[in-house]
Amino acid sequence: MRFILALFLLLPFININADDDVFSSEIINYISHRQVKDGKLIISDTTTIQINNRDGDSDAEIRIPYSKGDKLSIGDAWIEDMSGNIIRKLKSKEILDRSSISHISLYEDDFVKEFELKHNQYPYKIVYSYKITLNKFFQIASYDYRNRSRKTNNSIVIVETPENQPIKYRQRNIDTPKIETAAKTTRYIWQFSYEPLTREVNASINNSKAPLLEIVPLNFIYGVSGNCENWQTFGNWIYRLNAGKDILPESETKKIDELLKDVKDDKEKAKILYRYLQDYNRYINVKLNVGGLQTHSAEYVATNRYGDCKALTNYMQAILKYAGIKSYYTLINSDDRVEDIDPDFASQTFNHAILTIPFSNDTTFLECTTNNLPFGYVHASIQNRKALYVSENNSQLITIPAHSPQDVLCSRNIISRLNNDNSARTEILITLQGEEYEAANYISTNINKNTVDKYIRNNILQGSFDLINFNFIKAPRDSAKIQLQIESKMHNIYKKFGNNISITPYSLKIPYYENADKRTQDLQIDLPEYYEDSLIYEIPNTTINKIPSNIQIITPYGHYRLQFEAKDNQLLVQKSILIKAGNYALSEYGKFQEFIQQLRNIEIKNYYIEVQ
Amino acid sequence: MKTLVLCVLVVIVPLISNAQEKYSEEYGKVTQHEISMTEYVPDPEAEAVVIYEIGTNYFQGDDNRGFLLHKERRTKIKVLKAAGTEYAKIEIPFYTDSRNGESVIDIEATVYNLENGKPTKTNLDPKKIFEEKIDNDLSVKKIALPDVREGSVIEFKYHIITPFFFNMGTWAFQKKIPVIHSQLIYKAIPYYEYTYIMRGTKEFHEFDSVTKNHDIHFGSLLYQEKIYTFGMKDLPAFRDEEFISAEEDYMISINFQVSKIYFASGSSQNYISTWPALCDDFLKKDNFGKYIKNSEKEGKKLLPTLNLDSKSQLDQTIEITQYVKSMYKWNDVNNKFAEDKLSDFLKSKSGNSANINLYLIGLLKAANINVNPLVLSTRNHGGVSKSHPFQQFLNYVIAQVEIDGKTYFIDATEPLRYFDELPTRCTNVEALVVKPKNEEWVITTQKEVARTSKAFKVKINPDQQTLDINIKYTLSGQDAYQFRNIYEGKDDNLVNYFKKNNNVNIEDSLITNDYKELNKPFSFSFQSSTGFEKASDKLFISPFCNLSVSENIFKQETRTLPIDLIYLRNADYTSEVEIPKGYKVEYLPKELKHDSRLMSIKYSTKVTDNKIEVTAGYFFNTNLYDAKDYARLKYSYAEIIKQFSDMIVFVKE
Repeated sequence: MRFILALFLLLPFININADDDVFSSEIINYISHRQVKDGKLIISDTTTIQINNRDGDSDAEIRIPYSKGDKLSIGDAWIEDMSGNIIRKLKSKEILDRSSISHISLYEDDFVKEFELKHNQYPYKIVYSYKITLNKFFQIASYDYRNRSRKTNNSIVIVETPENQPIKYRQRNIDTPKIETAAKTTRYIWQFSYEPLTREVNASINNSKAPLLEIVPLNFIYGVSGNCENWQTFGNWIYRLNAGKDILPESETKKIDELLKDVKDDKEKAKILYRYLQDYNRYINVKLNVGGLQTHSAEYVATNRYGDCKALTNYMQAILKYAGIKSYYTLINSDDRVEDIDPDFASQTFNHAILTIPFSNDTTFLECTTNNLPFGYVHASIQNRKALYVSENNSQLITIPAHSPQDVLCSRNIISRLNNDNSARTEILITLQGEEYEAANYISTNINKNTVDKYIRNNILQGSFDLINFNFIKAPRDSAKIQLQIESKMHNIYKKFGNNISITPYSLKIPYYENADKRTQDLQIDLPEYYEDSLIYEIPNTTINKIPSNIQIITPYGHYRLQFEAKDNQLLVQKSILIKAGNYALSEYGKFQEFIQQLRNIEIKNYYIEVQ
Repeated sequence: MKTLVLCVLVVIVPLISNAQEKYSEEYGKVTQHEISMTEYVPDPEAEAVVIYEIGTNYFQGDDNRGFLLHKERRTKIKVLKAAGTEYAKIEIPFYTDSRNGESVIDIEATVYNLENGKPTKTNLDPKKIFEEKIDNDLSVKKIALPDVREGSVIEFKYHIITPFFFNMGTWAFQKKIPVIHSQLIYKAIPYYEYTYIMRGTKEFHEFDSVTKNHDIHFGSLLYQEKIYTFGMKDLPAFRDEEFISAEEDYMISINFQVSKIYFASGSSQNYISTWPALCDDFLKKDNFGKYIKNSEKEGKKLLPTLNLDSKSQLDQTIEITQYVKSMYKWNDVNNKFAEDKLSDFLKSKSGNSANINLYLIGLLKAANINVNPLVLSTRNHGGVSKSHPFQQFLNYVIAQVEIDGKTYFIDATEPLRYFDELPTRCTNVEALVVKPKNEEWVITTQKEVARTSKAFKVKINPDQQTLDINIKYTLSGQDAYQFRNIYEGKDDNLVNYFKKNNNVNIEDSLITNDYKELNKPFSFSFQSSTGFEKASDKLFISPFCNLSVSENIFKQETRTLPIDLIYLRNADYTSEVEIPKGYKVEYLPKELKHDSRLMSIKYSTKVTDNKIEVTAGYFFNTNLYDAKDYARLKYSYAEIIKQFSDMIVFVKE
């Protein structure tokens, strides 16, 4: 659960083909012709899809996105049988035109034309084409097959550009293009195919074997003129695009004066302003025109008291500037997966904005879209990756620090007092950090009580129980920690067999990984997982004679420790589980999986003790 | 309080004269209490509270368009927690048909905050009202109110003008947050008669009807309005719970349906009718009765190609159902009326549920099968109020077939279900048999209980401390449907399922039976090996190998709504555990036999020679329980978990 994730939006890439999850259809042929001409990008695409069975029918629903200002016309479209006989042609009145607004946005001036061509004799083919003219663009094409599950038999991408409009491209798992130069134009032709990769747990996205092709214009005009020469020039363009958006209304400067009265320290000032941002504003995304990359003004936020990531970040930058603190707008790809950024290929690959404040002895990063994260807290979706620091002349890639195991350590203190009927009265205190803290912190403030209640009942305990009471204990605002206190009656926690007692453990859910013989891709774990449990089982009227053996497993991938101790009528259990973050080659996967499987097996095992 | 005007005045006067008034319903006024309250005392957890919501529905003549229905709404909400800022996002859907569409006018909104002890006011900028186009006919006005945070009071109003007087719609008094006052005023005119249907309550806190002594002229018409007031006060937030049918069945609301229209000519048309008359109507309709007739004609041409002559009536019915399921695709739309003409449906080979099921009915008629349409309301569509014969309450049609005194309920939208196995959306609901001049209700009973049988054979290897287990699952009804969906014809899917959910390794030994024979139970078996606990010469063996139920599906502490399990459920377990050489049984789980109105549970063991046989099972005696049964159900379920996870202990001889 990554609630924060739901809050970002920058302009996505030009990606006309939506992702699909279905195995039951394939793209037979895809030809995309992209022409740069008179400052416009003219895209003509023709696609042939084969629907192999009934499950593939949903792939016969075609959606073509466009934005206000783009010219989109849909050409002929039809269904044909395997011998090429046309079964039915699409009529223009069957094309539906509607808004296409992401669920996290209030409004975007994006639209989609959609139609469906379904048939019930399988396999069948559908053929369609369209032409779209973009008046402004900073990207010519972007194909990323890493998450696709549909086979593509043949894909041809042709880019035609005048010689005074050079392009740049990067590609992976695709042959270099054929380049043809004619009178003042250059044609690049890429051809590739794609066999879907199996979906595997934490498959490496950076070492993926899937095709990837990104093509950008070296120079472009989008809002203002910019270029993709390198990250510095690209960042400087972002700076110019957003320049002059930092004017604050007088009411706002007054308010800031008031807030900062008698405060001397810059960091203290920044903290006060960050809280002011959090307390008074909320996330609302409205994207119009170039608004995918250009921010709304600081005044817009000051008036409406809302904005998207760009607007809130820009506003924060503006109020800091007024307070005499220099900060830098920073673009980042916010995602639970960490994707490498190519230092030599500058392009719009980001989906989020944060703010960087270079204080003299440490650099602080501010997430401006949440109302409850501590000042300077780097959350799980932006940790450990490169980001683009934007300044007037000196934009550059910077590194956002990683979550260490200590940062994500979650612990539980559990006291279970066993009753005579196999049940137990249990008190649990859970301390959450890292991603789990972020999720719990979010649901405890931003979600209604009824939903939280259901969530806790369904997720926090396993088996059969009465959840008598639970409540969140929030740490001070600057502390990235939250506690959850639970009081419950577990119905079936132990069983006595003569002098033996079998006790059900409070297992942690260890992630599932497929067996090594089935695995085909490298492993990429972006966040460490670290848990420590301290459990006390109190067994009335007994003395414990014999306890289980301790377990200790230490590997390069993490550790597992389980220690038992008997103290009168108490069984004390200490548990520590660490699964490190890391990138592992396929050849090493077997050993990693073996470690995880050991953990899974041990975690669900009952504890057997002997008593007197 | 004779008129609406007076009614408002009465509220205003004490507000002005008495500063202690807690809440104000005058638009544009906010009280000290509203602005400074930090929690709503009757529900301190509430993230927001509706202070008032007032709607006025009335008719006004338009020279070009005739009578138009006007719906005015105004609302004031106090935001108490961060989660409550969601209520500052407003969406107003409206139909946009260019000539005959709806319009939304006079949208206004104000947000009040307390700033340094003083109230501030921020108005909505009309330029910040956006319009999302959902499809060619429907759009939504979208608004995010400015300057909203914990503590804000928001107030907004808008006015919808619509020619669709059939859509007076539903007024929801109750919400997911508490409501202090909700009131609907409806000004009736003599030309449109509505019936109202209450849900979730037996009476209104406020109810009034007065005829306004004021003549209104429109064209040649002269009439007076009759003003109805419906109100509810201090409603708690509606908290949804697991295992309920449709929320709308429980939330307090009033629904208006046109019952009669009087025309200027003096004639009139009835819309409220009787169930028998509705049946007649259905049978006359192009998209129902006539569609069936046309399908029957098609059937006469089609049936000879299916070679059914030598088959029994039942087999013919099965074949025809199978034919429709495999040839026509459901577009996921529920309806009782066919949306496409028969010829279009046959060409496109896909359509809504009525296109498919009415076609099926036609084909069965062509085969001289005794079949009738059954109309019903699907589970998420809410229950039917039998005292209100409105066709709007029904949204689905299936076929009812009688053969040799046996009744079959058939739906042909889901090909993964066998012949007369109904999808859960139309199982165990009341349905109206559509026959001329007839009112007959039946319950669409579940064909088969959802049943899971698990059989285990356990061999213990004491020295290696491992178990060799042979496991067989046999599934029927809904359980078979679910596992067929998991399996999808691929062994890997089941292997991964067990590995992921139960940490059970299936060792290249999976055998499945009857995946495609939908009329038979789906079964599969596999071998697995696992460790077990051994302590001081004792072996602890779980006869169901941790594959019995372990999660209690009943997790709440209190329950207010009935528990709807949708379908009947049953589970059976058997296990044969070999007694290892050199060991004897030290402990056997106790026998259990429990039969109550709610459920039956059994568990027994038998020792024979070198084996222990364990037989266990449980059965829910109904699919619908009262809220008061919740605690007992929960504890019965806890008992099942406890008993079924019990172990056999062997000790060295």
